[in-house]
Amino acid sequence: MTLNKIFTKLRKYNKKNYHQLKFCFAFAVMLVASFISTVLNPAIQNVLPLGGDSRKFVYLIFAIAVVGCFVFIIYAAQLFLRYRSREIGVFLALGAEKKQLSKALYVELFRIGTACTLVGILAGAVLSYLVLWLFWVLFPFGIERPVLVSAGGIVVAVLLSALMMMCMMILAVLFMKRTNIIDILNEQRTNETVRREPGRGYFITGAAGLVLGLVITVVVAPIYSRAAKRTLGIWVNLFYIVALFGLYRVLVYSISVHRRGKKPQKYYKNLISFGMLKFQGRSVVWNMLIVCLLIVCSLFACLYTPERYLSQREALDEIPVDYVISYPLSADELDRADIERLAEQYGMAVTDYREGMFIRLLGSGVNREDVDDSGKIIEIYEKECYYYSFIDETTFRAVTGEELSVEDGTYWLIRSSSMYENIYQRYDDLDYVQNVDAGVEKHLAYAGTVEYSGLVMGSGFGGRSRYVISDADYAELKHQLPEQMCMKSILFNVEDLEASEAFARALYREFCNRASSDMLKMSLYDEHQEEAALRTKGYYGYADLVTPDPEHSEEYCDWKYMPSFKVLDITNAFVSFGVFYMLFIYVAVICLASVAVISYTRSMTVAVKNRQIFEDVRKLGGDRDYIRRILADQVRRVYTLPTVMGCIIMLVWYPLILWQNDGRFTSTDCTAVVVELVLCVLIALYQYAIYKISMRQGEKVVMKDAGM
Amino acid sequence: MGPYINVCDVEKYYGSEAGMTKAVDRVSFQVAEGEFVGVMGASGSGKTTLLNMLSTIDRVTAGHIYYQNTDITLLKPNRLARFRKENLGFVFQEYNLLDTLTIGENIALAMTLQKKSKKVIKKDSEEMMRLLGIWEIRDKFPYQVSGGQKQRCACARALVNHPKLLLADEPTGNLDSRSSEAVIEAFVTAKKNLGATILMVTHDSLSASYCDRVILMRDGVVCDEMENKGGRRKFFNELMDALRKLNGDEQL
Repeated sequence: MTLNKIFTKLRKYNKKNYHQLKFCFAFAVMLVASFISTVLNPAIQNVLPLGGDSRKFVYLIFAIAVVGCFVFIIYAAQLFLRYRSREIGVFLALGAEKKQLSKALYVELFRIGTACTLVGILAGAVLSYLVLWLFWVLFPFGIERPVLVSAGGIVVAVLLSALMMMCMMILAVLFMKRTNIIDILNEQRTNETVRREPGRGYFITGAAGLVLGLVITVVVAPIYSRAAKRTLGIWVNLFYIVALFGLYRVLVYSISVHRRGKKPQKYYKNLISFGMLKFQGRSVVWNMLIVCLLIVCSLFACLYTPERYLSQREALDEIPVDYVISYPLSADELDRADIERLAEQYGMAVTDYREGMFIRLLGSGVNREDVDDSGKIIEIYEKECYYYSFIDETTFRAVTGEELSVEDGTYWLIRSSSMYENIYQRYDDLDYVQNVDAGVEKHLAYAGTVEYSGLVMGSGFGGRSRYVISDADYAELKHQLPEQMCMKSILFNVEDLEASEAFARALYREFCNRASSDMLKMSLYDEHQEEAALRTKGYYGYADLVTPDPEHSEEYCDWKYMPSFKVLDITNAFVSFGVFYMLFIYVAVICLASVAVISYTRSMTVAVKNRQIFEDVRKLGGDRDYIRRILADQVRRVYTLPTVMGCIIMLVWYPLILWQNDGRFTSTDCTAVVVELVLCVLIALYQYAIYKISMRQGEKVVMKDAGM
Repeated sequence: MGPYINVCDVEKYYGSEAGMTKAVDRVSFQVAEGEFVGVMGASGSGKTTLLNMLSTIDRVTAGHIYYQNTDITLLKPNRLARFRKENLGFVFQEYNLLDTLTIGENIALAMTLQKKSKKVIKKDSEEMMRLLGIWEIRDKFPYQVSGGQKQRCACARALVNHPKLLLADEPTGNLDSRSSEAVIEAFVTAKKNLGATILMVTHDSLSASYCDRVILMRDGVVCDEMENKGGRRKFFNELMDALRKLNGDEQL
């Protein structure tokens, strides 16, 4: 029998430990590889706007996913090394050279890492392709046909796998550096006590920190911002650390304090369990904390995009018109005849056709971009701020069917159902307008808002604000206005909206093809802002031209004249939601996989490290059921408290976040909370399943050692 | 010719300066070649710590340990590993058998590390297993056999390489009297037939009565030494008296 043969034999006998590590490594690589392959696939890249927030957001999610995978690998490798520790200790005690054993371990880990990297990358590429292909089949207009191999994805996955392997190697080197054989042989006897038994005050300060941290960040800060018109700045987020600190204290207290209290029978019954918990304090608490946060992350990942989609969908459903097109009169764009001709080609019947003219005038506004030293928003009134759009009351009534009467010298802001004033944007900022070409100017007073989502552009604030003014004011201000400052808005419905997708795509294509070069502006582009920026700073950030793809309306291009076709908007919103949700689901899967690996590792550590105690309990007369009960009690704690705390935190925090967004709690938010509850139940079931697996394996370790 | 083992002013401290514990305090003694020496004392008297330092798996804080004039406290890790492999045999109270190897394989492991030939491994391990009465259970795994059989396996593993020095930490601590006797008899056989020098830490006076000499420890220092002047029963009684006195002093 040679040493290599012994190693091979040990590998064979311990194949379960090897399989665990291999599975974890390959799984982590597969998730990272498939995630990055999906993100970097041209099919998805085309959906994510270049330089846009969504792309940044996706990379942020990716960073979280990578961190999750690293946590995952670290725990899996530590468990593997813990299994190997006794073996290595015995080899060292029998005179094996550490160099020899280290080399064997490193080679072994390198082989495992390399093989798992290859398998993981391959599986990741296939998984990514299958997911994208399925997506493409379901939504052929949503994304382009995916490519089988994303070279960028593979390169990034290889780099990350190398880092993961390095991480595993560092753990192995640190492990082997522990020269003291005694420590290795007695590893199962080492304890990590919580330094001193915390008192009631410890728990109270912890609970108070947790509640205060959350309440200050998500309740007090937004209320204060609204009331005082000043932001509390980024430092408010530091209170999350207070919440985390509080959570740590609550967890420490829960595992280390067990008093006899009013139920001494219960106390004595659980005496051994309580004692064991106390002596594994530190690492148990850290594990619980990490698991708790990962559960919060996974729930957030599952909820964020659906909630956003539901809000978006709600807003779309409330738009009272199917098709809205706007363009400057100077452009050779679609008119009624063109639309009807195209509709006829697609077997569609245009109904409720109406059109109106907005005039674009330079008006006053309030700049709230900066804050002073105390965090208060600085409000600067600018007499010439943006070019706004104005429509006369008669046309507005005709186009919208809304009853509105506007007095001379006043204006009404057109708003959507989801548009509300906030500390940065007010309804009544405008009080002065001028027709620069004719030299006509006028002071206007705010009269109120009128809701008609079909005529609102973008956020409906700033340069995209649209107002209704009296017929007389309109006539006076329109005088000598050039065609490019007059914007035609066409609104119409079709008889069968659901069936009009092909017509909508053709219309979009036609609209894009006819768009004049001066129409290709970004949505926040404003002529006056450009002039002012060039004068003061020498450049204007929104001056770049956009290039809308006539074939792909779903490609977000931040176009000022992006038409609103309800049928396409609904599909595009769903596709965008699908893409984002798919990416977020990766993060949720990674978080939950990490939760499983960490919890399982902890459970196995409880079983392995307490071998001696279980053996002693058996010698003292503890039967199989009693030992099983002690083990179950220990393992249950690894799962119960973090799961409950994670779900409770999310159930409290997330609705507050939803409320904080706009100071309201809508029906969509209620739906999100119900979904959250369902997800919490699913996570609890998932944790229960992992608990059962851990218990089964833990029992094998404990009972085998105790010879039962 | 000098002593086989020479322990000179060995000390072992644990903890930081603020809370220092002296586990072994300036201990000195000598062991002759082929001698069977027992180390006894109450729990916490420092006997296992002393054995761990003698077996090179723990390091001294101060002092020197010489094996045939070689100071093992100065050896580098690789030389130490070689020294362990070539000279020492261990028997732990917890057996420290590899759970995933059979009894036979556990014994062969020690010889494999010495790169012995397949033929020698087979012959010597069989001989040793027969000697210790575990030949029949050679294909069983540690969890399938009794504590006594496990300990005999650990002894066989320690003795199979014919070590010059056998170190045993409470080898009978977990065993019943019959199994204990078998283990101690294995040591006596090793001493007689293989000429091994044996150092055994034990609580058990009966096991210690097989020794040529017993060192008694208390609070990290050697407080007495007793020599077996012939007659195991007599020595057993002497040990019992000495321990009674030692415990009585402690109680006072």
